[in-house]
Amino acid sequence: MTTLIDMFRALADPTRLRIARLARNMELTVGELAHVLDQSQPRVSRHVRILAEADLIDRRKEGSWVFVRFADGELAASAGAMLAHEGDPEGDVARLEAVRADRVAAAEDYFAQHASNWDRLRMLHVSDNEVETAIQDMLAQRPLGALMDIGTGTGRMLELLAPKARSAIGIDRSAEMLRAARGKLEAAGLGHCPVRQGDMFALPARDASVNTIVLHQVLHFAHRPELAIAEAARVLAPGGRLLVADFAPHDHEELRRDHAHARLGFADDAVNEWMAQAGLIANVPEHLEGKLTVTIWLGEKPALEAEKAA
Amino acid sequence: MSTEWGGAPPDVDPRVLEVLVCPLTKQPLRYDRDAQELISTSAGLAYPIRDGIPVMLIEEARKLD
Repeated sequence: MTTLIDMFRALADPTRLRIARLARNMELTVGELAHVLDQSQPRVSRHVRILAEADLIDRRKEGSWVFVRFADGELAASAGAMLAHEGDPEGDVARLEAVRADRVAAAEDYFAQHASNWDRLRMLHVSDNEVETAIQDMLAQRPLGALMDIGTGTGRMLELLAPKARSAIGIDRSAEMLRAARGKLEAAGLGHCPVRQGDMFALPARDASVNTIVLHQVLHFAHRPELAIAEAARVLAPGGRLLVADFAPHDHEELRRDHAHARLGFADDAVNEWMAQAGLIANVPEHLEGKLTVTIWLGEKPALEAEKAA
Repeated sequence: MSTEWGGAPPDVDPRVLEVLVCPLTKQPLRYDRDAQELISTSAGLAYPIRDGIPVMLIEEARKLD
């Protein structure tokens, strides 16, 4: 049981105060903390341990990375309210954004370099057939309506699903990927299917304007996956569905090292909770075993009361 | 065809144009065919169209005077 004195002792250090403030803002890794604070990882880890022992933050290990976030408890919440009073005096949040922007730029370089061999590269990690069949089956219960494929890459999901949709659009940050997508879509007779360069965190789409959204093997590239889900939920019309297909938690560190992954897979609950926070009703996810297990989550935006009654 | 884009490029499905908005303000865009830009008056930004693909990235947009 943490006492007030434990908590105050843990916070009575300038570095730990900064760590607690950052964690309050968002989930981040010890490596990111080390960058932002300009201190060694072992030193930061020690501070993080002290904060965790005082129940102020939670640690979660993912491969060789440790993610840190502010704890849920009542004492932590009171401490958090105190921390909020001072704002961000060291400018740490801005520095963290800069560290993340560098990572995004590195990921963009990665996508630009690999656009031409992307389809082959994708297959290295997972067999597509089974996953694609499962995605189609899961979405088959209702018409797709207006479809948006976020992080469309070379357009594979559009190729698969657009023929059944009323309209379809693909969004990706990478111009190189979209050029490859356009060639492929034209070859598949889907040249009318538009692609747009856009950001999954700021979609160029109206609120409640899309019926089906797919995030296929995209979320693991996101440093703040919860925001990507919230943005998709904003765009989803009442009764609309968000399908997320991604890896279950794994320890293939090389995907992070060599393939721009930000996350080594997701637990069922993690994605379901983000969906719930975004106002979606999450279904029980489906798992497809393989070299790497793929999980498919499906969230639905509640229909309007009037529609339900009709 | 009447969309808020003031005339759409021929290769684009109008039903899709209707859902596309400025990623910053979520307000409608106007298509400037000569400049090959999508104008967001509300944000004061012009989004370029490169190789026929609209670039709906805030950091890539040109600030309007």
